[in-house]
Amino acid sequence: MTEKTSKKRYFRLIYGRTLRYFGSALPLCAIVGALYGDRLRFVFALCAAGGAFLCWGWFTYLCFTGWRLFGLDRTPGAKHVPFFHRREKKRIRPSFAMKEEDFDDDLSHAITLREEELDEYHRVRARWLARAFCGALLIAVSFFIRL
Amino acid sequence: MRKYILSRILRSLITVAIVFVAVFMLLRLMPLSGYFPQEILKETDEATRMTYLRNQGLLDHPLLQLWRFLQRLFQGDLGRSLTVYPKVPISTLLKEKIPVTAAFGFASMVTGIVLGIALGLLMVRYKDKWGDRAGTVYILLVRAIPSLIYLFFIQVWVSKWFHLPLVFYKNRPSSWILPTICLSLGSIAYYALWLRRFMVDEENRDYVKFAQVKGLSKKEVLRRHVFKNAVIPLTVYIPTDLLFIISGSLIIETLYAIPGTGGLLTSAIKAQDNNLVQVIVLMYAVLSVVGVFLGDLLVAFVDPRIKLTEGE
Amino acid sequence: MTETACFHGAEPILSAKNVEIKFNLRGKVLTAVRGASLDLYPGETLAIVGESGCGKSVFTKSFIGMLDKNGSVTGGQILYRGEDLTQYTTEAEWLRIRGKKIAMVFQDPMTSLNPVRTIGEQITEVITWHFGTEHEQAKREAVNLLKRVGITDAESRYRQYPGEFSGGMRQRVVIAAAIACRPEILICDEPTTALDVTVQAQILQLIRRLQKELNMTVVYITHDLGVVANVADRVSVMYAGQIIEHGTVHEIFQQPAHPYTKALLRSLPQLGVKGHALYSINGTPPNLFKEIAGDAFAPRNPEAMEIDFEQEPPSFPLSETHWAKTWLLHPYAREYRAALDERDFHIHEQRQPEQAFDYSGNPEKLLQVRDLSVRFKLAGKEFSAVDHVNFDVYKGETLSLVGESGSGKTTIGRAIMRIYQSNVTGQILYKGRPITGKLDKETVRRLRMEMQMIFQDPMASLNERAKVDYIISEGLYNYHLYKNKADRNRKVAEIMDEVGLSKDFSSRFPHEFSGGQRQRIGIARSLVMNPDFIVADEPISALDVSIRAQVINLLNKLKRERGLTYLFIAHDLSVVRFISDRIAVINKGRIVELAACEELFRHPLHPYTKALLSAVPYPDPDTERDKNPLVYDRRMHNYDADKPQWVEIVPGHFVLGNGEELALYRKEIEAS
Repeated sequence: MTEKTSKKRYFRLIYGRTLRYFGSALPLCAIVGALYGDRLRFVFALCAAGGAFLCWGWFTYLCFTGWRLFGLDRTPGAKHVPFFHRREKKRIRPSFAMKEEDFDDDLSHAITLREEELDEYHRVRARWLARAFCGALLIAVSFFIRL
Repeated sequence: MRKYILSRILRSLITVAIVFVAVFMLLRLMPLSGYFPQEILKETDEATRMTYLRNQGLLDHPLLQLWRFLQRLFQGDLGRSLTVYPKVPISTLLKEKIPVTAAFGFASMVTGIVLGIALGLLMVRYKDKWGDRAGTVYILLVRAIPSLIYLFFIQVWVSKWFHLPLVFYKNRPSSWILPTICLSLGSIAYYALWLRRFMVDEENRDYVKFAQVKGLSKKEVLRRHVFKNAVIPLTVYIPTDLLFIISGSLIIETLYAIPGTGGLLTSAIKAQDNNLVQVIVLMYAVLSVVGVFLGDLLVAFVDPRIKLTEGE
Repeated sequence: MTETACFHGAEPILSAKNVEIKFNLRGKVLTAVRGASLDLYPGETLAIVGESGCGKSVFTKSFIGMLDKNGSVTGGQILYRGEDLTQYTTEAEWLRIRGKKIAMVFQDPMTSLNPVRTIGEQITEVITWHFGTEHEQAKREAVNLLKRVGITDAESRYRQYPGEFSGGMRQRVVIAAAIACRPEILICDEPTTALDVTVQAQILQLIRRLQKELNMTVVYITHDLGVVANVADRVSVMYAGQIIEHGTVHEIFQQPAHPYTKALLRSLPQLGVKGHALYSINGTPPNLFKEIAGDAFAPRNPEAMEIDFEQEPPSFPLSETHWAKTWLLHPYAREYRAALDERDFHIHEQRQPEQAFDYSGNPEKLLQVRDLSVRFKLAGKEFSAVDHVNFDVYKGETLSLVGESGSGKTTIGRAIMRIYQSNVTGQILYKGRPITGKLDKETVRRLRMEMQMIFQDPMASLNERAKVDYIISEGLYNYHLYKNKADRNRKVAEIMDEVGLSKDFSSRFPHEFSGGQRQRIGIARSLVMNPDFIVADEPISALDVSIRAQVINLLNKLKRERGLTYLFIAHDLSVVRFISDRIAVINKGRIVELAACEELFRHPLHPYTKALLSAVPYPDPDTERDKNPLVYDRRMHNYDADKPQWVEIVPGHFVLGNGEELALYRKEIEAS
């Protein structure tokens, strides 16, 4: 995050995501309000959605720090195995479900790395921050609706 | 180590708070009619009901309502039940019900751990033989068949075979057996499955081979190295088990007519008792979160690797 | 070897006769060991050498009854003090021998110890189990053992967990546990392969010392002929489940008789002549699922005689201690053998080392690295993986970065390949233009074509689900470097031919190939982009000796033909000497010395370089025996007051040091 450009890119990512979540949650809440036909339900729905988003953001953060809900899928620890004995477990996916990163490992990082991409840390951070912001935003909006 | 524990405690507090807020907000979406007992609902008209709600503060902004709820919570006032037990303070209700549920939960948790580990060990000891296969069949059955079906089956048939009471009676200890076992069936399968997985996984590791090369007998290696290493990750699961027991108690307490909180919640939802639903749901949410995080703390005490990474 | 002679007066303590071991793998029978025989004498050191998959580990594991469940000894005898171990059926019988009389050490110390029990417990349990000693007594013994294997502060370390030990220290603990019962035989299965060279030298020294103190017989299983030369009294060469040659270490290294032994020795880069193709063995070891007729090595031996394909050779004695299973030693083949020897001698004599890379004519600087630092965050703390590194790479040369694991050599390679973005400071100039930071699209595109990388583990870097054809042409797809389908196919075919892959491989999947072939695919994938500069990250470390030679030859050939420039990242100085023009030695993120290859080997200045050089095992028993590896300790530098500088001490020879040290280095150069 030393570069100004990547910092900008990072903030734009958070901002963009927040608005995307917000943009999909707001109409949904409005629909709920409209179905009941009162503003009150709209406010309640906004708050409920806001709480849910906050929760989602927080749990994304927790998972990001290595925490697992059911504790049992072991997180891979630091690899102490020297490289020539290392056997990486390969993810097996049907070919139609393969993503770019499945398609190639190191070369794609080395050679086909897209410029817009930030490192893993910042990408995940942007994800949970955006969710939490969206939650806070929804709750904040609910204050502006007169009851 | 202390830093690890402190950070975990802080983190679980934040989680509890956030989950509490979210659940409280979601509960605002309950139908407003649930704030009135049936007969009042019939007698009053829309306008009087709305004034009542407004006076009660139930139409205020949810955050404001949350603030009020918390204030009352710290004074020990949880509100009153509306429809299930009209006018009875919820705190009195809970005082009565919680001990029953807690006793069942604890008993089935212990049963689950003991029987689950025993079954897992049996499966590993007789891997690829009858013991293993029988265990696998059991695990598959428990996981594949919807719990309601086999729970019902047990209540009807097993009680007949063993001449056990069909429902719960507080003063007949034999009526405790079936519900406890039913409640732990899922956990037994889960513990057994994971213990077997972990032990088989550990058995293939180099240090197990090295322990054998050192001349230790197979049994000794299993006991000293494999079992201990495999049980450590299981401790993470023990508090998570609480989640399953909570969800299981909802069904089982209704089935066996046990006067616990699980049964209370189901009847409260059925009778649209908003106040009661709110309190029990919040309680369960907080309890689950606390349980999950207890696992993190517990594992820190049993796994030396966590102390190591923290020390650096 | 005066010691060796006395073995034959003594009775062997263990003698394996015609052992045959079969494995049942999903209905198919694999004969992993096909009648191998071996005698072990008290106090000696025997090394078993061979490529991977030739049955060395399986053979020795049968001595302690540790074969996998689906394997069994189906023939022959293993006599230990008169008892036939192959007759053992119950665990109780094995427990009298295993760990107590015959102990074993595995190759990877990182996984040989239980991570959740203290190292003390893991040693103590052996003692209490075998001797029924009381716990307190056993504990005292364990602490003594720890002291004995060179662990300082043994009392407090007794209570520590394996995670608190470094790799070398853990291997010491493993050895302590293995010798806890004072076994008569210690089997070491590649005990140092997983360790850095300097640590390896210390562990070998430790085993040798313990062997003397406890009068043990030690069996080494290894593929590293340098280690063999260092430790062994006698050597058994194993191939396709048989011991095909056996002799004292001098006999094996100086008069190898079996063509396989000769080939193994000749394919070592240490013994190659720079600029000439390294001898390499074609093909791979035979498939042991099938019946093998004749000499198993014949199909890979260009000089095989007709009889080699038809009949299995018996063993011919060469001296009292030396025998080999090859028809070459038959009296009828005497003339043919003489002719072969003659030819080999001439080939060796005619070879003159190639002219070294000419730096005098001001060669073009392809890559310039200035003050490069790469910083990482680990658990909230920042540390420099690479710390102010400076070097140039000239067009057409091979520059090697040599260092131990964790030294930051791979990080430098990746920084050059622009894999790290934000945590890199300093400058990297490629063809005179900076390539760090933000670049315009066209430059990035050009760089990604001109700079390519080859990876250490060919399998991990190849997508399992894509066919070879796709893997190789992926770069072409990404940059649309082909006119039409026919053009693309032609390009792929050309490249495959160039790296020595058969054309019909293109429709197969990577897992169908051997390690060497996979590495060829990896190389082809980079070459198809027609690069100028290649970062090769340990491309040969995961390969067997013979295949290693093939890949080295390929890399050298490509360099000559295409005028490539390599940045070669490696941990093995001996290999690097054969292929590089200049070598940079890196320690803890800093390059400590950089010089032309021969200059570095002749006049190493920095103490770390000296330690590294002294630790490299060299496949010659005479030089190996008397060597005493130096130990490098960073604390010997006093950099508090006087900061170290990166100085060109003589033209072309750079070294890191402060004023005082530099003065010392200058003196050293003048003296030599």
